[in-house]
Amino acid sequence: MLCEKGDIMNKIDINFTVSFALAKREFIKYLRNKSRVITSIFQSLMFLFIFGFAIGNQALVSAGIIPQAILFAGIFSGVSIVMDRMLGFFKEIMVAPISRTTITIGRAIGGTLVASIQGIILITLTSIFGAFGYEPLLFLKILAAIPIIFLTAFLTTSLGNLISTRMKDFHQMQFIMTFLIMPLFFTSGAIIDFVGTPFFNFTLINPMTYCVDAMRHIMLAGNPTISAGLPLYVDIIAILAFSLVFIILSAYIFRKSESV
Amino acid sequence: MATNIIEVKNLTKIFDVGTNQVEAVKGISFSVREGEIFGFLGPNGAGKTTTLNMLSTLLFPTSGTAKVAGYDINNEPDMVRKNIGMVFQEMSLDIDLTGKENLELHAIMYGVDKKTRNQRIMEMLEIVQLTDKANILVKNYSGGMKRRLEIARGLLHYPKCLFLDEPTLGLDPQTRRSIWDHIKKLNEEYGITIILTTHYMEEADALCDRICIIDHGEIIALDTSENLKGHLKGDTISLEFENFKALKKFEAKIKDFAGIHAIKIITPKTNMRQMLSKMAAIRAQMSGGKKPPAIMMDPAKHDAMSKMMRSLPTKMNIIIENGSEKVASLIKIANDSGIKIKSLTIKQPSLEEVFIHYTGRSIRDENGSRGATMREIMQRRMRSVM
Repeated sequence: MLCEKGDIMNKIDINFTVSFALAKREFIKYLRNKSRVITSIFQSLMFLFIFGFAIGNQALVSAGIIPQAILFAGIFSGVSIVMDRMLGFFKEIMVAPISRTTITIGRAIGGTLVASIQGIILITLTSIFGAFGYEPLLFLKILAAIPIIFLTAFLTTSLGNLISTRMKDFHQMQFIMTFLIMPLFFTSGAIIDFVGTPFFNFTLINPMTYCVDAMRHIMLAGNPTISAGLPLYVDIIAILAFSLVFIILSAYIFRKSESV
Repeated sequence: MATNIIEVKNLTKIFDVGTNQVEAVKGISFSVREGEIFGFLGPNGAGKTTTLNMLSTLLFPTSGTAKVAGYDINNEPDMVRKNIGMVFQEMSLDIDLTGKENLELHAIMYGVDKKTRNQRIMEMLEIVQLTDKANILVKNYSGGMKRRLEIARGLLHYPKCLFLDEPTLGLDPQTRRSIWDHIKKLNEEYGITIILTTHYMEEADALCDRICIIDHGEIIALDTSENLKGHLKGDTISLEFENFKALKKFEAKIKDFAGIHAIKIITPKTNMRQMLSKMAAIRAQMSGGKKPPAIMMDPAKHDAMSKMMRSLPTKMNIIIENGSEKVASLIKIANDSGIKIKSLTIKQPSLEEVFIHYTGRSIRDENGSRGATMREIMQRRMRSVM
């Protein structure tokens, strides 16, 4: 039953107070869910030790895996709406007099916050373990990386939101892992540097490429041995463009989807 | 004269199920008066929830329209949503938040003023007696507490009417009664119009000012409980006899008795068809051989036979006008023909009989066991997940 009629679904009226309240809910839930906090920290450490220290070229890989950890967190936040749907809370949101765009934005803000926190935890740990070397400017680099972390979190959450509009239960999660998240991870250049190879042009269709590239711009600034592939402003524009496409698409599909 | 808070005209909903079209609601029309408790009564799949979902703008009708609290469900869904409270059949709370946080989020979504928000939340928690549980995570609430919190949440934005979809499904009898008391209190003290669905007869009878019996997407009857029962002319006399033979004999004797509307023989729970086929087999065996059949000799089989005889119907219900006056003459007929009556009860008509009268079957046929209900819930949940 598509909701083509009815202006509440088709009017783009955004109530930011409600969006923030929905975002706050996700944040509270994240903080209360101790296993999720611990899992995210452990996963970050695992990434760091396996990919960062074992493969070598620590600085390059460390800068690359931070966006990947955010990718996992962002997708999970995005698809957590499936959990709401299974547990019933989804209906309470659907019957409220708020537009679906408001809901989409609330979810995007909440997911971005949660995924960003995980990114910030990881970048702090990586720096403490010395992946980027110890230098006076390191603290400033971390501060400068935080906007990139937020952008990456926004991008991946929007992608997660888009997936969730077509996902009805968690059985499909395995499919998404195999056919979406893993390819995004491996072709982003996080572990293997594709810059300068013919394959690099192909990786430009992967939004994560820009996140990895932007992160390297900041964290590896002043490192003579490694160079990023694209100018930083191109990365940022690309991340924003991908995010907007994902979020508009998911808002559009959500607006046209069934209520109950 | 009270005004109508809900006016429904030819409301129809057709679902596409694969290539088939299922008409879940078939052009129903009715109205609900301000301040009444209005109940939809019907078995599962009758179209109650679909109707409620259309009235709460979660589903758009295929055709027809309705006005809820003065707003059109097709053209002004947002205004309808602001003026109604909804309590769904399945739990729709966020179990990882506290009771108070659930209410706060609801208040924000419905645009309740920041200044009045807290006071409003406290007021609602007080009504459902959850004030001391406000800061506990909902996952630690009992089933009844969750239901009460949902009712409090549904009332938080001062809706003109509250929709309750199967408010006591899956709750124990004691909790059910307490929920009923809350619903009655809301209606009597706060004047909130309540529209509920149920498949429990006693719930409809105990709560509703008017009952709308709905089956296969159509309204079959709509009236007060008393009037619905009044349509059934007569009381029910339940009789139990010693055996099937006595019952049959009595049935023949009272065939021409004045005032009887219907005679219904109550079939015991055992599978009748299976039993009859067994009887036929035994009879065939008995007539086939020349020797006295084994069943006559074998005490075990004899036992089986008498067991079967016992499972034949021995009870009947007679729907009769002025049952209490006629009962003496019925007993006299029995005595005169030497029929022993084991037990006898006279019942005023209940909603159960009303339902059977209008639909030709018992509502309980489909909603017997708790297991079936649970399965139903699971299936519904799975369906909503798919």
